[in-house]
This record gives sequence, C-alpha cells and structure tokens, in this order.
Amino acid sequence: MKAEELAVLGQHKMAKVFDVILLLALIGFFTVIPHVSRMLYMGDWDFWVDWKDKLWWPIAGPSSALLVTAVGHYLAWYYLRLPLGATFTAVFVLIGAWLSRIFSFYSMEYYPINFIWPATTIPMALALDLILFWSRSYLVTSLIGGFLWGFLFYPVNWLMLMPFLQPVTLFGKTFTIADLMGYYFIRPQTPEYLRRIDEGTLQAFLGQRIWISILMAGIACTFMYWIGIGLGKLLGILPMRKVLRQT
Amino acid sequence: MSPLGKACLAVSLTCLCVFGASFMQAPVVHAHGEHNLEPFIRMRGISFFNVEFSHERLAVNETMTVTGKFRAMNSWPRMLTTPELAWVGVLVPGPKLAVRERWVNGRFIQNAFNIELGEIYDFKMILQAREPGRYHVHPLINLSGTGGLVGPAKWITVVPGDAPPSYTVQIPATGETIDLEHYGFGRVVGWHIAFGILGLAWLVYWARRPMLVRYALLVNGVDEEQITPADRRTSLIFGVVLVVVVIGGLLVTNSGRPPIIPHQAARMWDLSGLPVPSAVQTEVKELRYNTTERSLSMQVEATNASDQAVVLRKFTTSYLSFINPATQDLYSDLQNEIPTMQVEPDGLFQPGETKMLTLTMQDAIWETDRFIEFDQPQITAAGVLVFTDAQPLAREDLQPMMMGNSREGLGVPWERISSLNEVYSNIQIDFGSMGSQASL
Amino acid sequence: MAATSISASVERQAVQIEEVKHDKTAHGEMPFVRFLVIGGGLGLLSLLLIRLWQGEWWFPVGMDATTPEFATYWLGLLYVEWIVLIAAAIIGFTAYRKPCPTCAVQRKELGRIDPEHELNHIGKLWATVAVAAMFGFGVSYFAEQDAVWHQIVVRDTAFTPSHIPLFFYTFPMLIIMTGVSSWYAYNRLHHLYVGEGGKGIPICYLLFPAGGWFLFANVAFNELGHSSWITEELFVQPYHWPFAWATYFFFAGFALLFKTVPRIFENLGEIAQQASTEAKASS
Repeated sequence: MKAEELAVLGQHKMAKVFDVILLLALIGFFTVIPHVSRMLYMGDWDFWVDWKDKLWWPIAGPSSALLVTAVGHYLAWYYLRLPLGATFTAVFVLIGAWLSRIFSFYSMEYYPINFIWPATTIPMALALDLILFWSRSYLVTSLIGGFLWGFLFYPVNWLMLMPFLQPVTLFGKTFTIADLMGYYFIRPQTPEYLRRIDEGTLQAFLGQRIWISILMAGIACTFMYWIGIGLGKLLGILPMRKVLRQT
Repeated sequence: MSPLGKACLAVSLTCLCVFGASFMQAPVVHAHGEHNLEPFIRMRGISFFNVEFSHERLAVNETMTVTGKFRAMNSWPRMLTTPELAWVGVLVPGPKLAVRERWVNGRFIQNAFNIELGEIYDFKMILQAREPGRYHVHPLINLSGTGGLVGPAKWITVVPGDAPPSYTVQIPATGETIDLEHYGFGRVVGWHIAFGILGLAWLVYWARRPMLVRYALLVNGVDEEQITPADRRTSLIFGVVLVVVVIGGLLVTNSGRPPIIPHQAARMWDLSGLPVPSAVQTEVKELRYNTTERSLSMQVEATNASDQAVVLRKFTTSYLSFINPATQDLYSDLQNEIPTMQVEPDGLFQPGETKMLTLTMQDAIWETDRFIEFDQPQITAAGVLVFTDAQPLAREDLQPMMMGNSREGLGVPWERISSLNEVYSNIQIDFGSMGSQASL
Repeated sequence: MAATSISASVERQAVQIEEVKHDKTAHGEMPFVRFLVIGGGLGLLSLLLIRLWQGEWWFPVGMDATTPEFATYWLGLLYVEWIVLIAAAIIGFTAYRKPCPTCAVQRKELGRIDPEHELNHIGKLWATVAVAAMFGFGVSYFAEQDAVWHQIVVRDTAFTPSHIPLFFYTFPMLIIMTGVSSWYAYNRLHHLYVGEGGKGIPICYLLFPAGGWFLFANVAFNELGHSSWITEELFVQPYHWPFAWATYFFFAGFALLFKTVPRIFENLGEIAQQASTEAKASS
C-alpha cells in the first residue's frame, strides 16, 4: 500500500477508534507496570517524606523507576516512532501514585498529603524522550539521557523536599521537619528503625555525600536504560515473531 | 452473548446488588486485629504492666498521656530474630491520634533505642487527637526483625474541637512558626502541577495525531519521514522550557534557602532497663491446659528471698491480667468484670518461706483470643507473676490502670511491686473428653 | 421424514450462508466498541464498588480476620468476587471456544474473510486487552493501598480488606482477561499470527496471561516470606519484587496487538476501495 493511501486511512473513523483503544490499553498497563515496580523497589522512600534521604533514595529511586520507563520509551519509538513513551510512563505512574495517596493514604487513613507525596520523574522522562528524538541513538540516549535521569532525580525532587530538611529542636534533640512528621504521624508497621536512610558514612566527596549518590545514580541509570530496552525487546517485541511450532 | 453467558451475567449482577444493599446494616464493633499475631510471640515477647490512659474522651488538638512499663521477656521465641532496636508508639487505625512525645525510662526518645531481653522499660507518650472518632488505642512496641507487639488497649473517643488539627513548631533558623499538617504542601503540589503540565503538553502534542497508522507506515518503509520539521522546532521549545524550569527552579530554591540538614538517624544505644524487683525466686514445675474447662494451670515453686512478707498479686501475659482474689483483704479494688485466678495455697509469703503454688486461670479467652493454640509446633505459654509487698492500701492510693484488653480497674502502684517473675514452659494438654473443640 | 428434515436443514444452511456472505448488517458499526464499553464499564463498576465497600467497612470490621463480622463483610465480599470471577471466566472462555462460524463460511465460500468482519474481530481482541488493562489499573491502586493498610493493624494476614480485592479479584481477573485475549486471538485471528493455514502457538499468547499467573503465584511466595524471613512490613523487601517482575509479562500484550496492525490498515484500505467502487457504480 502506498504511504499516501495509508496516511489517509489513518484518518478513518475506525482507525481512530483503534487509536483510542490503544491509548486505553497503554494507560492501564503503563500505569500498573511502572507503578508496581515503583512501589516495590522504592516504595517506602516514595511513600514517606522522612525516608527521602540523600544516600539510598537518590540511587534506588531513579534506577528502579527508569527500568519500566525505558521500556515505554523504547516501545513507543520502536512501534510508533513517537518520542513520548518515557513521558507517558512518568505521567501515568504519577497519576496512579497520586490516586493511591489521595484515596488510600489520605482519605482512608488521614495521613497529611505533605507527608506522603510521591517523587516526580517527568522532567527526566521528557529529557530522555527529547534526547532520543534529537539523537536517534539508543547509545547516546543511554549515555546522556540515562545519566541525566539518575543525576537529576534528587535535584528535581529536592525542589519539593528542601523545606522539609530544615532543622527544628524538640527537648534538646535536632530533627528535620520530615523526621518530626514521621515522629508525629505514626506508622505502626513502618517504625523508625525500619527507615533505610543514610546513617553516616566515612567517605565523602568534597564533603558532599549527595554528589556521590547522584553520580552513582547517573552511572547506574545508564546501565538500567539498557536493561529496560532489553526487557522491552524480549517481552514487547520478540513475542510477536516467535511461534512454538507444533510437531 | 450466549444464554449461558447471560445467565452468568445476571447472577453476577444480582450478587453485586445484594452486596450493595448490605451497606444498610450496621455491624457491632469488637476486635482490633490483636489476635492475628501468633500466641507464642504475644505471650513470650513483651509483657505490659501498669498501663494507664489519662483520658477517655478528648477533643481534636487536646492531648492525653499514656504511661506504663513493659518487659522484654527472657522466654523470647528464639526462632525469631532477637530484637536489637525498639520503637514505641500507639496502634490506632492510621494517625488519628499523633504522638507528640515519647519518653522511655525518663529520657526523651528521638529515634529507635536499644533493647535487651529480660529488662524492664518505663514508657510515657503524649498523644494529640487529630480526627474525631472512637478508637481502640494500644501502646505498641516495635521490635527490629519481628514487628509490633501491643499492650492492653482502651477505647478513646475523639470529638470535634474548636479548630482543625494543628501541629505547630518553630524553625529556629528563620523564626518561622509552621504547621506540620500543611507545611510545604503548596510547593509539593505546585511543582507536581508544573511538571505534570509540561509532560501532558508533550503527550498531547504527539498523541493527538493518528498513532497506529505510524506502525503501518513503518512496516511499509516510511520511517523517520513521519517526523516533520515542525516536530523538531516544537521539541526545541520543550527542551528550552525544561532546562529553564529545572535550572531556574534549582537556582531560585537554592538562593536564600534556610539552613538544612540530613534526616537524623542517631539511635539510642545506652538505655539501661529499670531495676527488676526480685524479692521472690520461682521455678516453674508444670504448665497444663485443660481443653474442656478452658483453664490454664501452673505449678510454681516460689521462695520469698526478701525480709518482708509478700503476696502474689496477679499473673500477666501480653495484654491479659488475672488477679488473685485473696488480695482483696489488702486492696479492696476488685470489680466483677476483672478476671481472677485461683491460687492454692492462699495467703502471705513470709520471709524465707517456700511454697508450691498452684494457679488456675479459667477463661474462654485462651482460645477465643488465640493464646493457647494447638496448631503450633511449639505449644507453650509464658507470662509474669507479680508479687506485691503485702502492705494494705486505701482505695484512693490505688491507680486506675488497664486490667486486660479494654478493661480498666484499680491497680497497685509500681513502687509497691516487690517481685516480677517470669514463667515459661511447654504446656501439657489435657484434651478431655471426645467433645473437646481442640483440633490437632 | 428424515430426508425431509435433512433437506430442510441444508436449505436453511444455504440461506444462512448467503446471508453471511453478504452480511452488511454490521456495516459502518463497530460491535467491539459495545463490548469494550460493557466489559470495561462492568469492570470499572466492580472496582468502584469494592472501593466504596472498603471506605465503609475498612475500620469497623476489617481489622481482625478471626471475627464473625469479618467473615460476613469481608469473606462475603471475597465470595462475591469469586462468583464474578467464575462468571467472567465461563463467559469469556465459552463464548469463544469454537472458531467463528461466519469466518468459516466466508473462508469456504469467498476464499477469504470479509474485511469488515475481520476488523470487528481485531477490534474485539483489542477491547479484551483494554479491559484487562483496566484491571491492571485496579492492581496499581489496590497494591499500593496495601502499604497503608499495614499501618493500622497489628499484623497482616493473607485475607485483609486490601488483599481481598488485590490478590483474590484483580490478580485472577487479570489472568482471566489476558487469557481471554489470547484465547480470542487463537480462535478468531490465529491466521494473523501464524499465516493462513499455519500451525503453532505464538509465544505472545502464552506470555501475556503469564503476567497475571505469576502475580497470583507470587502471593504464595510472599506469604511464606512474610511468615518466615522478613516478618516486618518493609514494602521494598526482596520477595515483593517478583510481583513487579510478573507485571513485565504484560508487555507481551503489545506484541499481541501490534501484530494485527498491518492487517487493520489492509482491511480499512479494502473497505475504502469497495466504498469508492460502489460510489462510482451508483453514480
């Protein structure tokens, strides 16, 4: 079929209906898959502001979030030549997370919203899509986009986290505001000692531990990007061709 | 749809309607999930003493105090991790009451603290009511590697107050007074909306065009020709906006920001337990459970090693207490609903005296609350015998405290307790007649 | 007598064949949209009802699995869910258990399947995937809800107000709906995957439902892990991760869908061509 004819058929009413169904399937699966990954790989850091530390969260957060985002990013480009997969995944995982925070965490158990906000990955996802769009190279995207994904995760979310890191004093002890919220707004099954947060390390890069974390996250994410692409290829593309032959 | 399909659909819709209609019924509120923990951990984990709640009813923003003592039992079930760190709090369904202060052994608790088996700790918490409702409030001790263990609970009613809940605190560096209920909310939501709009705009820009035909075109060899110069220009605009928003945001947030510190994780490792009252020495001879009578009995050899007479006041395990009714001569406190135990031989322990005591506690709660359960590879029981100094106390000198889950009564103050003795053993089970409810 | 009835039946069949060959009743309509709206609507309704139910009975009777109230309100919900699941499975798998008779007739009489008819089959396949995706949305919500449920009970058990919709409704429903998708593709559109007259099982038929199956299977591993190794409710603990790995199998759904895309446009092209030929003929 000629390209011009196809382009006209794309405007057909039925083609549009198929587009809508595709969008519904994408919304459903690209909410559940990244959301389940997010909650199970970085959940506690994502749920509670007093878990959002500067050693583990900046590494665990972006590298786990990138895995499925990279799949969405890859499949959208592979199938549709649309540079929107990463952004799509980042937007809908956040919608899924916010629905849960508002309708479970807040409305059912009354945790204050400012204590339970999720991290955003939209800016990095947009950067990932843009870099692929400009470079047309997965290698370049992994090296630049993947690195930026990990490197920018903490700074971008720090925009929201910063006020919660101010010190306050209570009975002669110093807390961050986030610590104090964790102290007040009880979590019976996630007690304080369960927090996987920075408890102090010896090495420090120019005295700034955060640089080590975000550099490490950047490096990890350049690799994680490829794991995501491999996963997308293995489960989203190859099954289209492979047939188990009956003997 | 096939007739079978229609039938199935009708059945499921009917079920949904019935299900919806039962919204109308009102249930009776009883339990709170305490039973879900295995019996061995509840009896052999933590024992609570002298748990007191200062209020029964309070308005939003009002505070109340919960105090008490707990002992990390030596009979700790060793198949679980031996706890190293502990955290104290309350169990309510979500933060309906907030914990404003935690004190253990008189020290303010910031983060988790080290705990040793066999030690006794005194806790005090200040709770502030947040949301109106009626709550079963338990003191809760979290132990690392195991999870939460609860003490006796009291029903607390929170009524609406004059103002919405508020938790103000002053930031020393800026002098600003903030409310933790809302602090930072605007900034969080603002950034989420800003980035959300940026992301959605990008999605809308691309997804409003016919999508699937792009794959068909691709299969037909039309690859990147599908991308137009306009797309490239738009992508540049998005790129510039993204860089400006992120870098601008970071610059603005960083300039003139207040001093900030990392989350504080220092734990308390130097918290020693309270002195353990130990006037009496005991040795458990036998623990026996009769399934027909639902009674737990124990034989304990007890020697008063002190120079004062003492009396066996009660047996305590988890959130249960069984009072010795013979102590009524000393403390006229007993109310009908408080569970009692039978003690033989009765009476005072004179200094140096040794007695073989037989305690019998008959109560359905052993099975209804899953304290004695036969479907366990370790059928054990444990608890603490509490001896007091046998000095009579006037009614006004007794303290209101929890005498079991949701049961409040008058109890002997801590200073008058002369000995706490742990009892722990495997249980000999009398399965009784064929009519027994027990299952193996 | 017997001969008459046979000839009558042959005659009836011939009439049906003619009808089927020139079936234009569905012309311009899209029955699969109705399927999507009804299937998706009922599914969404069930999820909303469960959420309303949770809002109502979460605190008063949901916290102790050993009480009679729990049995009434929460195990009651569980049984209703099971009925819905069984109904969905029976409807889904019996409705498409045989190849489409219309397709068979068209293949025999016309040598091919009418493009519009085939498009409707493809549409229905897509609709089943979209309905499955909607239950995926349910998994996304109820799974994270479980994290906050932990904050109100002494200890979690397998049957809780958050597990009952998650483990015992949305997980099995995903197995059923993704299974129905593959089943539908196998019984209606197999020729698109293996070629006309081809044999074999494309692995996307198997991988797509495998996601739901692994999700459900990991419930057992999860409960074992919670009872034996890490007894505390750390949400990021390693034996939760297989739930995430299981969801990756849903990517195979897109392989299942995109395999049909070229045919969608071939069929649309033919329909457009037919329409223009008819328009020319009538003018």
